[in-house]
Amino acid sequence: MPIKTSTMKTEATTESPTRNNEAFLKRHKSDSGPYLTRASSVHLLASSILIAQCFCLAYAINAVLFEDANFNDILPYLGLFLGCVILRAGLVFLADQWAFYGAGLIVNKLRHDLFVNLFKRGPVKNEREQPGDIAHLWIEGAESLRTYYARYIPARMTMAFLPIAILLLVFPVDWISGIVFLVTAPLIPFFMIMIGKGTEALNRRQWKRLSYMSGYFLDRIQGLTTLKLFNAGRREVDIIAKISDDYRLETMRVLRVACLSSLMLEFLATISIAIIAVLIGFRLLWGNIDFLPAFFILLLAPEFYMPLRRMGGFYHARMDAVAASERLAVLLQGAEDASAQHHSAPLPDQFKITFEDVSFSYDGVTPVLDRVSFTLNAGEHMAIIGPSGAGKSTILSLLLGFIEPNAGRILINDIPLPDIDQRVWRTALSWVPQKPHIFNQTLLENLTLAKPDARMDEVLQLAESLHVTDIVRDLPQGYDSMLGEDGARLSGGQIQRIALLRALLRPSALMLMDEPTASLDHKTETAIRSAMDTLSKGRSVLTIAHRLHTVRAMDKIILLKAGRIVTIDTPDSVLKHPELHDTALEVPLC
Amino acid sequence: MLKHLKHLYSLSGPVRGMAVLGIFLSVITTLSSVALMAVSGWFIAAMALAGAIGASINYFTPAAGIRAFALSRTAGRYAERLVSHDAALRFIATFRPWLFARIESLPQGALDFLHSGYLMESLRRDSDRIEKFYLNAIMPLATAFISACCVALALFFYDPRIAALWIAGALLAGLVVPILTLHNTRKPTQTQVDGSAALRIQGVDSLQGMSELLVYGRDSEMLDRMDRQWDAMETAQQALNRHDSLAQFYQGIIIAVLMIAAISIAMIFSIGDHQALAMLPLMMMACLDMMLPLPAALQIVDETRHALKRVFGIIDQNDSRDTSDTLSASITFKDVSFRYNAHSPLVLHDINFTIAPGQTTAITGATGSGKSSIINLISQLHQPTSGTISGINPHAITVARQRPYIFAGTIRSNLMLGNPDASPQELNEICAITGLDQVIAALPDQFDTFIGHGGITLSGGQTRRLSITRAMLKPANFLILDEPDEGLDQNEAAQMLDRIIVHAKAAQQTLIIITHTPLLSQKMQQNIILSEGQIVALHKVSI
Repeated sequence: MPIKTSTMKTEATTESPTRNNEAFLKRHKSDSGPYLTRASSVHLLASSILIAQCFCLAYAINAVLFEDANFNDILPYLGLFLGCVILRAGLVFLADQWAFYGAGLIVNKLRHDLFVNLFKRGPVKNEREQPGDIAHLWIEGAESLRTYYARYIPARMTMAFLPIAILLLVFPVDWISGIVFLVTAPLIPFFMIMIGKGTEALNRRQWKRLSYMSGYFLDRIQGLTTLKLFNAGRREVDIIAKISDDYRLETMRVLRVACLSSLMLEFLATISIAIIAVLIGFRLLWGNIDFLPAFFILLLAPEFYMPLRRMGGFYHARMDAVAASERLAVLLQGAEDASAQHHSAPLPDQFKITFEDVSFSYDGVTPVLDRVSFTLNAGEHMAIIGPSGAGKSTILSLLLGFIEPNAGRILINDIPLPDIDQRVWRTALSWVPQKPHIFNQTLLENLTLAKPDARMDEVLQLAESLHVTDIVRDLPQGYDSMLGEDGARLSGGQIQRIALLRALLRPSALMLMDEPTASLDHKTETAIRSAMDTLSKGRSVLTIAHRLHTVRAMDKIILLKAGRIVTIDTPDSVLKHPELHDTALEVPLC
Repeated sequence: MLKHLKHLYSLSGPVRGMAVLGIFLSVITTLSSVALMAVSGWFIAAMALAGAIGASINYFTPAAGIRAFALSRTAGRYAERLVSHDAALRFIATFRPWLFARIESLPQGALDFLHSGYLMESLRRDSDRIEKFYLNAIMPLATAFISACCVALALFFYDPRIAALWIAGALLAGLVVPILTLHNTRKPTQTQVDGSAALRIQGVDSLQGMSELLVYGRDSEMLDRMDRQWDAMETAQQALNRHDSLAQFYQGIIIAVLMIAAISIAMIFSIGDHQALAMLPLMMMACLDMMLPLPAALQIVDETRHALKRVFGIIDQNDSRDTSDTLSASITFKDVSFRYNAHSPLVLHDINFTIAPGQTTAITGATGSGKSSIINLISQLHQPTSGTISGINPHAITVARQRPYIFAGTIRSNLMLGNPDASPQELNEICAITGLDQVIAALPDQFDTFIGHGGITLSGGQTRRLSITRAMLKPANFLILDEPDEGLDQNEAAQMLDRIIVHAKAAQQTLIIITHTPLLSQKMQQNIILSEGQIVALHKVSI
C-alpha cells in the first residue's frame, strides 16, 4: 500500500513564507505584557556586570603577578569578583523567570485562541483537518514558540548590546584587538544567515513531516481494531517503520546542516580568540602591552563571541517556531475579526422556519443546494428524503449554523438567521446526528450534555421510555460508568439511544435528526418511535430519513435530488411520486 | 524502572556502539575545552612574565597545544552531535514500530479502555522522551563523570590539594545541586507527564465531538476546562524552569568560589609557578560547562521513568489470539458464556450452535441481545469467559463491523486494506455486488478520492457499502456482516444481500449476518435468535 503524502505536497507555499511567519511571531510578542521587555533589559544589565567581573579578576591576578601583592591585598578584588558573580547570576535568574513567564502567556493565549477559532470555524470547515495533527500543533507546536520567545528574543537583545559595549571598551585600551573583533564579528551573523537559508526549507518540510506523522499515527490507532480484523497490523508496522525511518533521515539532513553551521560559528570564534591571544602574547613578550589590559581583553574575548554563538544555538529554536507558526497562522485566520453580532434579535418560543432560494456550495463551483425554498411551520414534523449526495445533511448543517448560504436567506419568523446570536439560536435546537460522538466521560455526563443541570428523575424517566435502561444494566458502574473512547464498548443502537435521550432532554423548539433509529431492531424502534412522538409533540421536527416506514407519520416530506427540491407534499402523495420510484431504482435511497 | 531500562537496553543493540562513541567524542570535546583554557591562561601569563624580565621562552609548544585543543574541541563537538543524534534517532526509528506492533497485538479488551490520545502520547511524546533520555541525560551524565575524573586525576599529579578542592567543588555543583533540583522538581514533572496525556485526550475528544459541543452550547465550558488544565501545566512548567535556573545560579556561584579558592590555595601554599595563578581560574571556569546540563539531566531521568511506566504499563499484557494457520470448515460454540470484564454482567449465557461450511446464517435479536458479542468472539477480539469455540482462526474470517472505521486516505487504500493484492477485476466485481461502484462513479477522483479525516465524508449508506466491499475483498472462509442494511434502503439492502449470497456460494464462503430486519434474515438457511444473551430459537430453513 503506497504511503499517501498528499497532505504534505499541497502545502507548498510560494512567496516568502518566513517573513509572514516572523511577522506573526512579532505580532504576538505583545501578548507577553511587559515581561519580555523587562527580561531583555535585565539581561543587558547582567552583561554590563559581566564586564566588571572580568576586570576584577584581571586586576587581582595582575596585582599578584606584577605588583607583588600578597593575598590580603587582592582579597577585596576577589570579594568584588564574587559579588559581581552573585549579582549577575541573580539578574540572569530574574530575567530568565520573566522571559519564561512572558513566553508562557503568549503560548497559552495562542493555544486558547486556536481552539476558540476552531470552534468558531465549526465542524464542517474543520472536516479536512486531522485531529492528531491539530493536537500536535496545539501541544508541541505551540510549545516550540516558548523557546523562541523565552530564549531567542533575549539572546538577540544581548547580541545587539554586549559586543558593542565590549568594542567600545577595548578600542581605547588596545586598538589592535579592537580591529580583530570588528573584522571577525560580522562574519558570524553572515555565515549564520547563509546557512540558515539552507536549513530553512528543510526545517519547514521537517515540521510538516512531524505533523503528518502525528495525524497518521492517531488515525491508525483509532482504526486499530479494523487493522487487527484484516491482519493488516504487520503491514502497518512496516509502514510506520518506514515513516519513522524517513523522519530520521530527514532530521539527520537538517542536523548535518545545522551542526555545520555551529561548527563554523565555533571555528570562527575559536580562531578569532586564538588570533587575539597570539597577538597579545607576542606584544607581552616584546613588552608592548601591560598584563592588566592584555588579560582583561583575553577574558572578554570569549564573552564577545558568546552571544553570537548562543544565537546560533537558538537559531534552530527560531526555525522550529517559524515552522509551527506557519500552521498556526493558517488555523488562526479570521480569529481577529470581532464577531459581527453585537445585537441579537430575540428568539420567539415558537417559530416557523423559511428557506428562501437558499443555495450552497462547498467549493464555489459544484452546487450542493440549488435555490431551495420551503417552510417548516411551528410544531410541524417534516422529513427529507433523497439519494445520497442530494444535499440533505447540508440543510441540517445550515440550520445548525455550521455553514452559511452562498445565496438566499433563512428566516426564523421573518427574522434573518444571521441576525440572531448563534448561541441564542442554538439553545432552541436539539440534534441527533448520524454518527453521534460519545465523549470520554461517564454515561450520565454524556446523557446530560445538552442540559448539565438536569434532574436525575428527568433522566430516569426518559431512560425508561427510550430503552436506555438496558444499556445501564450492562454497565459495571451504571450511570457513572466511563464509556471509553467514542463509546468503544457500545453498539450503534446503544449510541443512537444515548444521542436521542441527550437531544430530548433539552426542551428545544426544533429537533434536527439524521435517521435517528436506523440501528435499532424493529421492536425497539417501534417502542422508541412512539415515545418520540409523545416527547416531540409541540416541537418542530426536521429529520433525514432513509427508510420509508419511518416517514409515514410525518406532516410533510421533502423529496430532494441533486440539490433541488423535487416535491414537498404529504407522505401519501410523495410516496406515490413517479420521481421517487425512479430515484429509488436508479440510485438507492441512502 | 530498572526492569524497564533493561528492556530498553536490550532493544538498543544495533546502536549501542554508536552511543558509546558519542559519549567518547563528548568527553574529548569537554576535556579539550578545559585544556584549551588552561593552556591559554598559562601561555599569556608566561609570555607576560618573560617579557617583563626580558627572558626568552619556548612558545612553540604551548602555541601548538592551543591550536590542537582548539581544533579537537571544534571538530569533536561537530562529530559528537552528529553521532549522538544519529544513534538516538536510529533507536527511536526502531522503537516506534516496535511499540506500535506491541500495541496492535494487545487484546481487544485492553484496547477498548485505552483512549487513542493516550496511546498517541506514548507513541509520540514518550518516544521523544526516550530519545532525550540518551541525548540529554545519559550523555551529559556520563560525560561529566568521566571528564570530572580526568580533571581530578590531572590535578592530582599537579597538586593533590588543588585536586581535593576540585573534587569537593565538582561534587557540590555536579551532584548536590542536581539532586536537590531533582527533589524539588518531582511533582511538577509528574504534573507535566500526566497533564500532557490528559490534554491530548481532551483535545482529540473535543475536536471529534465539536458539533455536539457547539450545538449544545458546551464549547466555552470545554475551553475553560482546557484552559484550567493548561494553567496547571503552566504552573508546573514555571516551577521546573525556576528550579533549573536556580540550579544554574548555584552552580555559577560554586564555580566562582572554586576559582577564588584555587587562587587562594595556590598563593597561600605557593603551589606551582606564578603562571598557575592565571591558569587555574580559567580552567575552573571552563569546567562549569560540563556541570550546567546536569540538573536538567536528572530531571529527564525522572521524566523517562514516568514515560517508561506508561509505555510498559500499556504493553505488558499478552495477546491470546490464536494465529495458527489451520483452516477450519465449521464453527462450533459449546456452552459459551461471556462477559467483557470481571465487573460487568454476562452478555452471553451457555450458547451452543454450529455453523456448517457453505451454510448461510442469520443471527437476530433485539439490540443488546449479544449479537455483536458473538461476532467479537468469532473474530477472536475477545475470549469466552467459559465454554469453548472451535474452528475459528482470524485468517479465515473477514468481518464488516457495525461501526466501521474509515482511515484517512483514498477509497482504494481503504479497500486494499482487506487484500493488498486484489486485482482491478476483483475490485470492480465486488464493488458491483455491494453497489459501491455507483457511489464511486459519482465521486470526483473515483477510486482515488480522499475520504476520512482530510477527505470527503461519506454518508452512512456509502460507508456501509465501502465497509462490506472491504471485508469481501479479504480472502476468507467466513464472511461476517454486522448489520449490513444499516443506513440503506430495505429493498436495496435485500437486493445487495441476494448478490452477496450468490457470490459467497460461488466462492465457497460461509456467510453469517447479524440483522434485525426480517426481510434479510428470511434469506438465510439458519436463523439463530438471541434474547438477553441466550438463544431462544434456532431455525433451519431450507431454501
